[in-house]
Amino acid sequence: MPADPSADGPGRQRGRSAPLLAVRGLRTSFFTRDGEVKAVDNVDLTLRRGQTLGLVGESGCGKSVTSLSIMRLVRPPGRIIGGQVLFDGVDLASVPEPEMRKVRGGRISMIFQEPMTSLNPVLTCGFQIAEVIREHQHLAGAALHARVIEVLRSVGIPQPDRRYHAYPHELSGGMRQRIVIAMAIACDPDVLIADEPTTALDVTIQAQILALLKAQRERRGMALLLITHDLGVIAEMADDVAVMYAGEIVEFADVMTLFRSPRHPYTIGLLNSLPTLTTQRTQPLHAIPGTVPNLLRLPSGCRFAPRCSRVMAICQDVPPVLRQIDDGRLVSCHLYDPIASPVVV
Amino acid sequence: MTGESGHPGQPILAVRHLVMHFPVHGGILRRTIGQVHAVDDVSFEIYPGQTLGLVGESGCGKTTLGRTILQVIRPTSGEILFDGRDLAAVAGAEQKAFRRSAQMIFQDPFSSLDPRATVGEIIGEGLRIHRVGSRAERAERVREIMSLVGLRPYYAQRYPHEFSGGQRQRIGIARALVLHPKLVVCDEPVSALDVSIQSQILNLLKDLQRQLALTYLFIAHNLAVVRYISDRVGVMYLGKLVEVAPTEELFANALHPYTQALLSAIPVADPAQRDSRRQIVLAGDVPSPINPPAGCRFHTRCPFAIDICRVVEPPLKQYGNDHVAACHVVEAAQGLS
Repeated sequence: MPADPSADGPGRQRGRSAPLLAVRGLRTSFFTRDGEVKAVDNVDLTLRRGQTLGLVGESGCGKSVTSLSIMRLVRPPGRIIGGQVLFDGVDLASVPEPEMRKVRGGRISMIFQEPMTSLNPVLTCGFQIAEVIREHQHLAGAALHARVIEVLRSVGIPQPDRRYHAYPHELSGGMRQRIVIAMAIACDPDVLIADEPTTALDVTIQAQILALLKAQRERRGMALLLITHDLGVIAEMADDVAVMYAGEIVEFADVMTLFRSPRHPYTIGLLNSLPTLTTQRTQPLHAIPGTVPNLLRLPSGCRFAPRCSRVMAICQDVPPVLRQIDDGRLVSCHLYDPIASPVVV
Repeated sequence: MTGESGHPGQPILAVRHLVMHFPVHGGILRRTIGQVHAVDDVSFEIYPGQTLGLVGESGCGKTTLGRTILQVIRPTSGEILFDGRDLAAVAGAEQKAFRRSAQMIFQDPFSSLDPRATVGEIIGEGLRIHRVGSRAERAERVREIMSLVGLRPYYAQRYPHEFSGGQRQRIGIARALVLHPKLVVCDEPVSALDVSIQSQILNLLKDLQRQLALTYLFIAHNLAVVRYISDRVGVMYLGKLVEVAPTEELFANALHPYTQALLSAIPVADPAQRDSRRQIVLAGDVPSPINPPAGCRFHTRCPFAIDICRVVEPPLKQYGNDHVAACHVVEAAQGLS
């Protein structure tokens, strides 16, 4: 199966469609015995029809909690404590749960990382897809069955009539992830959230799944929120990219700008520390010293300051805010703050 | 088999026609109903002070190969020569000596450390088992190796759960190196780590190799990581070694269709390339190693397969200096060199 060249067509053009889903000032904390863990702190995101927003960051940076918050799937002791999730003029963060149930899996759906744990092992794949459709649409009997077969075929499952009756354990990891994607797109969602959709898969299978997600995005005009730690996947898939660090977005730009000229020292460090197929093998790799801060004891100033190679006095005390700089991108760093720093690069 | 030219001296490790099959039991009598062909007729060498990278997708047998080399499991057949000695023949004190000189670093820094032992006990366990020195000397050696891998020696009193993933991987490295091994099998040592930590550990492994003259067998699925750390790279598919070449040569001039597909499937962290890059997306899944396809095991997914591929298993053939590949199509195209 050669990569479909049309899979990357018109949706990628840089025209800005109207926002479909907007996250504004989202704050989610976990109230543990040891104190409040600010997993997501004042996050803004905008998803547009037919486009892919990449959310990238390392483990524990809050990218998954962001997606769970959008879906209102955060469990106690976690709680959304502020902000809005605006979808079609409605704030999903405050609608009653029955309303949310209609949205979830219907107009907004989600793919999780591990295809084995997001499928029920004792139910057939076909039954699980049918369950989603029944929840949101008035279909039953032969019509429902036909719809499931159609969805299975659209995600590239060979012999969908047979696979309808297969249990998850009978399928390979790549096939299982296709089933999970089939469940997610069964009701033609407007927004698809994919949280590390290919992390558990091998590279040749990852390439298949990414091609499938691209094709589905194009065909259905969905907005895709792609959450991953893999900068390569971001570079292949995203139109815009938000970089998260310790619960905050530190840089936001379109994918070309971000990879060509990253500005936040964390983004720069992340891109430099990645071995690529062209890295000089004799040179040591760039490494970001230290580790991600404990979210219970965050530094009082910039959260990246303890690991930053260009830290200044102000960074220790004053948290920087995400602001637009000359080329239209957003960055949260005192280096680009005209008042704080007289020595702008 | 492999050209010996350009290599420093004798190989420290030579693997000859190694086979590792695991029986599959079934039925009420739990009879053997099949074999998992985890490693099938694999041969290669590693030279002292060098790194051989081993890549392949899950289930291709790369971890089994590493475990077989370390004598954790006994191979079904084939030879493993360490410093010229066949490991199947060694026993007693000599086997114990081998176990000291070949060590392993594991993938998961969370499950590979005993949560109830202190860091000092974990690192020093090998010294205790092999009765190296007095108690004080062992403690001194543990402190020495800890500072070498970038851990503060006073951490010896702490427990693994107090450390981050990167620090734990340093503990795993210290444990592997405490007995002055010659060969270290690194099984996915950075794949559980975040990018910014991964580069710290890769730099550390490279530094240690230079300082201690270590030889690495570096098993990983991330080709960019393998390229960075390896002198030579071997590619495995379904229990078979399908291509081996010096690193630069493999990445510039991959011959086997599977290697080419693997290289093209890696997402490149450069959005400017995504439309221009020719990507080979392989159809289908890796077949089961219980009943591997006849002929070339890759023929079911190979875009270039010809009739002979379905019937005859291709042997590894030499193409240029130190570059071997097992493929009928390559053989037909290149003529026999």
